[in-house]
Amino acid sequence: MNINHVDLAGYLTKSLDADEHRQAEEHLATCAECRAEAESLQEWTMALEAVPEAMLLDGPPDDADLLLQRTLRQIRQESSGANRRRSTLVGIAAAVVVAAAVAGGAAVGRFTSPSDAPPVAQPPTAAVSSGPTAAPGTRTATAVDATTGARITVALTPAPGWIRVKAAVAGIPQGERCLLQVVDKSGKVTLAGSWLVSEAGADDGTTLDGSALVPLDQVGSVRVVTEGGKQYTSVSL
Amino acid sequence: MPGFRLQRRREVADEALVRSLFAEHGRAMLAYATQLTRDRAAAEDVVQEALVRAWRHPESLVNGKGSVRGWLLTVIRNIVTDQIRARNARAPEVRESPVDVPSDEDHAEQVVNAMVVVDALSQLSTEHREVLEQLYLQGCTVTEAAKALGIPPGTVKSRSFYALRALREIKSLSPAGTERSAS
Repeated sequence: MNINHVDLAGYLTKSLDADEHRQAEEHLATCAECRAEAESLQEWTMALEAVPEAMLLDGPPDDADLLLQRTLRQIRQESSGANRRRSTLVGIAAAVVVAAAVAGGAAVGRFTSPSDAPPVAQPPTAAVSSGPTAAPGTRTATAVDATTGARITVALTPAPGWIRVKAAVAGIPQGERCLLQVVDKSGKVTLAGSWLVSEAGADDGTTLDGSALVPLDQVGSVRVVTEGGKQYTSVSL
Repeated sequence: MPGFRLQRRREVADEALVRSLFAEHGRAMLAYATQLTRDRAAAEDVVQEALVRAWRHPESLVNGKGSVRGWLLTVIRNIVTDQIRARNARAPEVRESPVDVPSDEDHAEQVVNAMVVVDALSQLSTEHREVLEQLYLQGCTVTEAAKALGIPPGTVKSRSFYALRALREIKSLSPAGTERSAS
């Protein structure tokens, strides 16, 4: 079709030499069909060029710690101010986030979402190199349990055939004996860590470093349950 | 005091959400806000407001069809649009130069597409997305992109061509396809 008239691919990637470029322009000037095709695709090349590269990058902004502090301060003020008509926390199912798979240099990372993932959050992230935050391929997710108010944030870093599990768990009362479990897609449960909630842990949350013999792409969810079997919170991945 | 405890626990949990959104999407949010406002300080205010809205309505983060990042960027766009509208509404009283305001609006409309583009890119196959990122976002030449991706230059050319066509299939960039509220 159009593509046979002129090397549009070369034209759009600006990879024609001067002669070829001139010929292409001459052809486009006379062939309405090719011109329409070129123009509609150029709309996209220009739109792509206008996107700041940072919009595809994961991680926090540079030099913006004050911004985070300011935001947290505002939240604290609002939250203590009215003690919230919002008396019960609205649950989040799972705010799934990101992952930047990166292989050094100019390589381009990608998020691979499992094809059967819930239609919830499909991160549009294609990150370009050297994100300062997470190790390559790390996936993070956060969830709040609407009933218990407990929150979990997890970061799963893949190793061949298994994962490292970092978790921050808040909102569980002192004295609870907790298990951090990874549930794979078939429903099989693997223990990634266990702890007793201390007074400080009840106030400020507990951070955990664990691991589980589950490949990252097989992880269905990560949850916190007590020894007695009460589930405090669970996050889908 | 148990009430206090519970409150405190919620705060800790809430902060964890905001911290995690900031850690994952902060850079993208600030880049977009800066592009829209052309002002880093104003952009930071917009990002702060967007995070606070996410905290107020955590359910909306995941109830929408799009991604978390898509939701956050949409909120940013709405905040900036509202600000421009508010400024326009004030304009007669403060006698703002009539030239300035529309140019802000035009600029905002131009870059509104960035969010659409990011969302559309996320729907492409990895091969397609990578090649477009190299060529157009990073501004690589075909040769550089070929080297970075480890594929022949000819493949870069043809693949990028098909990737552009795939993008066009996914989303419309024309103004008719973008939402404009007429309030």
